[in-house]
Amino acid sequence: MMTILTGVGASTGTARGNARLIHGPDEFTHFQSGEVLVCRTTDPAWTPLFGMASAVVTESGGMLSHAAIVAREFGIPAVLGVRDALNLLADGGPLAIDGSRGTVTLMDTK
Amino acid sequence: MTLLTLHAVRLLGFADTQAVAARFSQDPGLVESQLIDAGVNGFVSHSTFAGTSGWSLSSLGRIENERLLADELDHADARDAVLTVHDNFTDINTGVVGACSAIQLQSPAGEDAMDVLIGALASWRLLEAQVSGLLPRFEGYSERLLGALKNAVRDTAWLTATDRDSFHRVWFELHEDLIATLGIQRR
Repeated sequence: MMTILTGVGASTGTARGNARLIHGPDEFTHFQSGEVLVCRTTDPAWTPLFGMASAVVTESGGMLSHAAIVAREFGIPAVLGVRDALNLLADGGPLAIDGSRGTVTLMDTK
Repeated sequence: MTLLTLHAVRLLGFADTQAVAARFSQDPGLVESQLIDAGVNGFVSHSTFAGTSGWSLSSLGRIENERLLADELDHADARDAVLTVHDNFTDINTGVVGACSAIQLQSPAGEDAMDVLIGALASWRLLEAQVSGLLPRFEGYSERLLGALKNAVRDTAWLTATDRDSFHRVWFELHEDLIATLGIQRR
């Protein structure tokens, strides 16, 4: 079943990749290049991940958040403010991100 | 001081020993020793990540960092003053992230964005003077922000880029410093 989550499209563009749920810096080394970064929020420590990610999905933030600004700098799509994303998205599950429409499309759900 | 070493890692996010030492002008040898000890205690880890090697703060280290910051705040009797500075910063921050976004999106508001950033720097200078009087480690943000604005005259990447000490990168670090100091969760 295809499920679509919505948030704020804060950085335009589309991307596909597997979700990587990152709960904190202890899990940074789990992240692989090309994956979709899914997290609650970000701070300066997370910036290197943006350079590896195909897209970013966060539970908090919006059009004018620091995460949006950093995502735009890296030229990757970002959908921010996706409620409960860490629970609704499966780690490793394939996603399609549309940073213009603010949608996160997934094929597999928990 | 372990506080400055752990806090430098917090603010830089992922950095090598030299960068951690340079953040608060500490001796690199001393800092390396402190980082190794912090690693033994599980506060930091050293890894190769995103093509470079460096130190990052663990969740346990983040807790220890905030414990040390709270002690520092109480010792300086500065909590109320820093809260006031943070409240004022939050108001200015709305304009800064709006201006940075307008620049990136090339929206009409971007034409006034430089004025907004110059105004933000002027406002922060006053706040930095207040907070640095109580916590001297806050010194330096104004100079870095000014440097970014000067460089932006010839290259606007200095406003929002992530690969240099741009205005937004310094501002983002300053925001992190304030909320870390107060133990506030980022929203």
